[in-house]
Amino acid sequence: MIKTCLILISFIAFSLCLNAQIIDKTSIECQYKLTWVPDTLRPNQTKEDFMILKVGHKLSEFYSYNTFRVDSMIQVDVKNGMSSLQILAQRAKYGKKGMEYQIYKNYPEGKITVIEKLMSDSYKYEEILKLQKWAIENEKKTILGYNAQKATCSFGGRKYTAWFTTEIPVSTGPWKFSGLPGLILKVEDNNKNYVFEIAGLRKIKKDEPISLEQKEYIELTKTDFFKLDKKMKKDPLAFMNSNTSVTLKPSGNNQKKERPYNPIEH
Amino acid sequence: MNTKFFFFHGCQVVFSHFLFPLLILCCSFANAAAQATVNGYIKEENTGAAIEGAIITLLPKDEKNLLAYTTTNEKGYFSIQLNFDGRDFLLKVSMLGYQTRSLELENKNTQQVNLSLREEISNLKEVLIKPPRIIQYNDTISYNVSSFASDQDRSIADVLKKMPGIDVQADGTILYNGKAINKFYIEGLDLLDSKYSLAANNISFKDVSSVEVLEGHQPIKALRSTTFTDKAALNLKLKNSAKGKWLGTLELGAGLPFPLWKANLMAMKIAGASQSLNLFKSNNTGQNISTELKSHTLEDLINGQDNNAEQSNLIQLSESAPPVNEDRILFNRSYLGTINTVRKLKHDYQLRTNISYINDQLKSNNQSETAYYLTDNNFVRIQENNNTIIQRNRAEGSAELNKNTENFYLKDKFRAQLFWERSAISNTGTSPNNQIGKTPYHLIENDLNWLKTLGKSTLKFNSFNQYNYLPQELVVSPDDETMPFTQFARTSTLFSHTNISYSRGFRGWVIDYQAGIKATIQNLNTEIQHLPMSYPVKDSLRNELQWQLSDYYIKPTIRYNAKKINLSLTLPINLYNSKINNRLTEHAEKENYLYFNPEFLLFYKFNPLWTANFKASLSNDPGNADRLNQGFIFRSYRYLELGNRTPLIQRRQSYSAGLSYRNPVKSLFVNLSGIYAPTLLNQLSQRSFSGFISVGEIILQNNQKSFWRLSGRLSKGIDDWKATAAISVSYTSTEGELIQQNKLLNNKTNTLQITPSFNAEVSSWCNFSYTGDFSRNSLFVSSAPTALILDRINQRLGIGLIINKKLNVKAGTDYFYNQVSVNKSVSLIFADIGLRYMPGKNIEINLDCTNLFNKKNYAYTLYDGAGYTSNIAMIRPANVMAGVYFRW
Repeated sequence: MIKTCLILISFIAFSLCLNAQIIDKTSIECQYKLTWVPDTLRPNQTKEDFMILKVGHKLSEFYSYNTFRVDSMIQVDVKNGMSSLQILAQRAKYGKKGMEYQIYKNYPEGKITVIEKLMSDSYKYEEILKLQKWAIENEKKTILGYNAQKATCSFGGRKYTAWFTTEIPVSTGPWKFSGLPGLILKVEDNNKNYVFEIAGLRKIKKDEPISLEQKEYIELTKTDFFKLDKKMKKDPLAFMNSNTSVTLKPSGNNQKKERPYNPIEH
Repeated sequence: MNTKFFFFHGCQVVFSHFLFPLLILCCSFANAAAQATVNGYIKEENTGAAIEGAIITLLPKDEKNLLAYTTTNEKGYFSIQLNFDGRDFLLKVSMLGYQTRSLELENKNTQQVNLSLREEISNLKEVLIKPPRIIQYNDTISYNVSSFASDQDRSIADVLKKMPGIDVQADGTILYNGKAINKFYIEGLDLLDSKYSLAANNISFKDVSSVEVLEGHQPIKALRSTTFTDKAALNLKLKNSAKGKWLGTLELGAGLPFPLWKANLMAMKIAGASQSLNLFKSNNTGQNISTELKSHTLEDLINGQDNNAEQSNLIQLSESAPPVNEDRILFNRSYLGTINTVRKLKHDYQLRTNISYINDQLKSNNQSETAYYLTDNNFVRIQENNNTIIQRNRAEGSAELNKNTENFYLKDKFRAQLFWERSAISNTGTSPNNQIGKTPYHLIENDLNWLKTLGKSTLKFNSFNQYNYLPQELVVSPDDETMPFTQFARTSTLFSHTNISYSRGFRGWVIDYQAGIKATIQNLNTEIQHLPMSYPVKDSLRNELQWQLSDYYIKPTIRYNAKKINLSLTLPINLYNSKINNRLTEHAEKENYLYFNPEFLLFYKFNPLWTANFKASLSNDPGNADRLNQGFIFRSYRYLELGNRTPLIQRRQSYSAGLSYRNPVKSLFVNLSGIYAPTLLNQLSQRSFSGFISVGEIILQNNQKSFWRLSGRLSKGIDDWKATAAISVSYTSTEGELIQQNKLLNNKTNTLQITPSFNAEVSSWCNFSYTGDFSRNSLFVSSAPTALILDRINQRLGIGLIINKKLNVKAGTDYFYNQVSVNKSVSLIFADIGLRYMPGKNIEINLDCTNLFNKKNYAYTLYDGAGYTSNIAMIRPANVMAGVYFRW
C-alpha cells in the first residue's frame, strides 16, 4: 500500500518539462543489483531494484534504472499528448518504479546531494561526502573478473562489508558509499537487508552527461527528511494528510496496521 | 602549532611553490616518530593541470596488502602517512583515464613526491548486460481503497471523506484540495455527468479497488496543452470481481415513532463498453434524497458560466433554511427512481442517457417574527405561524453524445426537465390566511460543442439553446372570509448563445479570439385577480411584456503558462441591444449599451512552499426581465413588488488575492485570502409597509454596495498524537443602501467567524473529533442608535469506538447557542448514537437513535437588509431506526 500510494501519486505528479543542468560527463557506467528486505519480520521476502552508478570526472550519480525508465516513458507519452487518465489506465505498460532517490556524490564539492521524491514533492538534502570510516582487511576475492579486497565500516546504524577493486581507480560506489581506493563492487550489511552487487560495467565513449534536474526542491535537513520518510512509509495516510492543505477527518475507525519500515539508514 | 597557523593563513600560491615543502620539513621535525609521511602533487603531463581525485596507494613491494591510501584534493595535493616496518615500499598513483604510475620509495620519515600522469584510454574490462525486463504490475499493486476504509463505512463516499486531500461536503460535492472536482469517472467513463452523488453515495466501497485522483485534469483532450486548470478529477477503479455483472445493494429499515421507513435498492453493471447504474430509494426519516440528484456545478467545460439561462421562481414561498443539519428538520416522504447508462460506440463515440424522477412531500412548521427597521428605533413586526406542505414531482432526462480524442472534441447534450411543485401554507399569525403556490419549472435545452485542433491552433464552435417555461400561480385565501385572490404569473425564456473561437499557442503563450451572439427573448405575463380592498395597491395589477436582449461580443484572451507562473487576461467588448415591449401600454423602449468587461488572473509559485494568486475583474450586467415589471407581482401574500422599465445596470469590480504556505516537513499549512468587490447600480430598492404588507419598488437612483472579506486558515499536524488541529478565521462585511418607508437607509452587516477543529486517533479502537463554529453578526442601520449584535455558537463532538471486528459504535453531540434577539438566547443539545453489527461480509444490521434528548424546536435569527427574522422551526423528535443492509 505504501508503495502503491507512492506509485500512484508519483504517477500523477510527474513534471511536464524537464529542465536539466549538466554537471559532469560520464566516464564509466556501473550497474548494480540491489536486493533488500522491506520487512525485517520477514527476512526471506526480498525485493530487487536495478541501480545505475554514473561515474564522472569529478562526481558520480546513483539512481534506480526502473524509476528512471518509468519516468521517461511517461514523459514521452505526456509529450505525445496522453492524458493522465490514459497514462493511469495503462500503467502496467510502464512497469514498476524502484527507489525514488538520486544521490550525487562530490556535488557540491566535498558533499553529497540527495534528492528523493515522497509522494508528489521532491526533497533535497546535503551531507558531507566522506561518511564512512573504512577498515581495509586482507581478504580478497574475484567479482565480475576483478580482484576485490574486503573493507568494513559502520554507517547509519548498520555494519557493512564492502568489496572494492583498485583495478578501477575511482573512489566511489553504490548509494552513499565512497572513500575506498577503488570502485566498490559489492557492499552489504551484516543482516543482508541491503545488498548492492555489481552486475555490469561499461565505458562511456560518447559524451553522456550527468545532469541534475532543475526544479524547485523542498530543501531540508537530513534529520527532517528521515522523519518525513518514516512517517510516509509507516503511515502514508497521515503523511498524505499533512501533505495537502485539506484536513482529514477520521470519521470512521481506521484499523490501520503499522506498515513495515526498514530504512537503509537511521 | 605554528605549522598549522601557517597552513591556514599562508597565501595559497606562495604556499604551493615554496612554503609547503618547508612546512612539511618543520612538521617532520616536530613529530620525529616511526611514522612515515609522503606528501606530493599530481598533475597532468600535457597541460600541467592539477589532477583531483587521483588515488594514491601505498603497498609493500610484493603488492599483497594495501598499507595506506588517499586521494588528491582539488589542487592536486595529497598527504599520506603509514606505519611500516619494511625497508621500502611502493607508491602507486592511479586515476581513471590515465596511466597508472608506481614508484619505489624508501621508508623514511618524510618525503615529497610530485608526479605527472599521462592520459590513456582505459582498458577497463567491460561487462555488458541488458537492462532487466519490465516488471509487470499485478493485482496486488493497485491503489487500495480498503486501506482507507473502516468497518463503519459503506459507500465509496464514506471512504472518500477520509482520503487526504479529498473532502465531501454536506450536499455531496467532492472537493480535492479545497476545489470542486471537474469530473467523476467510473472505470474511465463519465456515467453520471455532474450528478455523481448517485455513484458516490450508492456504490459500495467493497466493490472499488482504487480511487485515482487526476490532478490538473483537463477533460477535453484536445485542449490539454493549451488550457490551464487547477481542478482535479476522480476515477473509480472497480475490483475485477465487480466488473461485467450486475451488482446490487438493498437496504430496508423501520423505526419509531411509527411508521418510519426507508428502502433503498441499487443495481449497477460496469462492463468494458457499457455502464449502467439504477436506483430506487424511499424514506420518511429526514434524508433528503433529492440531494443525490444534485448537479454539482461542474465547470461548463467550454463556456464557463456564460450559458446560465436559469430563471428564479416568481413566487417565493419557502423560508430560508435554518443553520442546522437538514436531516434534523426535514419531515418528508420521498421516492426517487433513476436510470443511467453510458455506452461506447464505434469511432470513439460515447452515448450517455440519464433519466430520473422524484416525488417528495415535505411538511414543516415555522413560527417567525420579522422586524423591519423604520425610524427612531421603531420596527414593523409581523408574526407568522406557518404550517407548510410542499409536494414536488420532478422528472428529468438527458442524452449526450460525445467524442473526445487528441485533436477532436464533439459533444451534443439534450436535456429536458418537467418540475411541478405545489406549496400549501396555512398561516395563523398577524394576518391569518391560506396560500397555495404552484411553481412549475419546465425546460428543454441543447448544448453543442465542437472543437478541432490543427497543429498549434484550435478552432471551436458552440451553440447553446434553451427554452424554459414557468407557468406559476398563487392563490391566497384570507381567513377573514373575504374572497380568495389569485395571481397568474408566467415567464418564458428563449435563450440562444452561439460562438466561434480560434486559438493559437506559441512558446507557452496562447491567444484566443472569440466572437459570439447571445440572444434572449423573455416574456412576462402576470395578472392579479380579485385583490381585496385591504391591499394598498389598486391598479397596475397586470404585466404583459417582452424583452429582447441581444449581446454581440468579441472576447480576446491571452494566456501564459509556465513553470512558476500562470496568467490570463481577457478583454471582452459587449454590445447589448435591448428592446422592451410593453403590450399593455403599447410602449416600446430601445436602448444600446457598450460594455468592457476585462478580467485578469495570475497564479504564481514562488517555490514549492509558497504560492500566490491574484484576480481582478470588472463586469457589467443588464439584469433580468423579472425586474422590468410595471405591474405588481406577489412574491408571497405579504410581499408585492414593482420593477422598473429601465434595465438594471450593475458595474461590479472585484479584486481578490491569496497567499498560501504549505510546509509538509513541519506539517504546517497557512492560507490567507482577501476579496473586495464594490458594485455600482443604477437602481435602488424601496420598501414601504402598510400593515403586514410590504411593497417593494425599484427606483432609478445611482447607489453603491460593497462586499469585502478577509480570511485565513492555519492547520498543523501533530504526529505524536496522530492529530490535526486547525483554525479558520474570517471577517466579512457587506454594505448597501435601500429606502425603507421613504427614508434612505444605509445598512451594513459584519460577520466574524472563528472555526477551530481538532481530530485525533487516540488509539486503534478509538477516535475523536471536534469542530466549533463561533460567529458574531452585527447589523448597523444608519440613523439607528445602536448596532444589533447577535452571537451564535455551534460545537460538535464525535467519538467512534470499535468494540470488536463485528461491532462498532458511533456517538456524537451537537451544541447550539443562538442569540435570538439582543437580550434573548437559546441553547440546544442534540445527541445521537449509532450501532453497527456485521455478522457476515455482505450483511449489516444497524440501530440508530437520533435526537436522544427529544428536543422539539430550534430558534434562530437571520438578517435581511435593514431587518431581521427570528424563527422557531420544528425539529424531528427522537427517532429510533433499525435496518438491514445486503449487498451482492
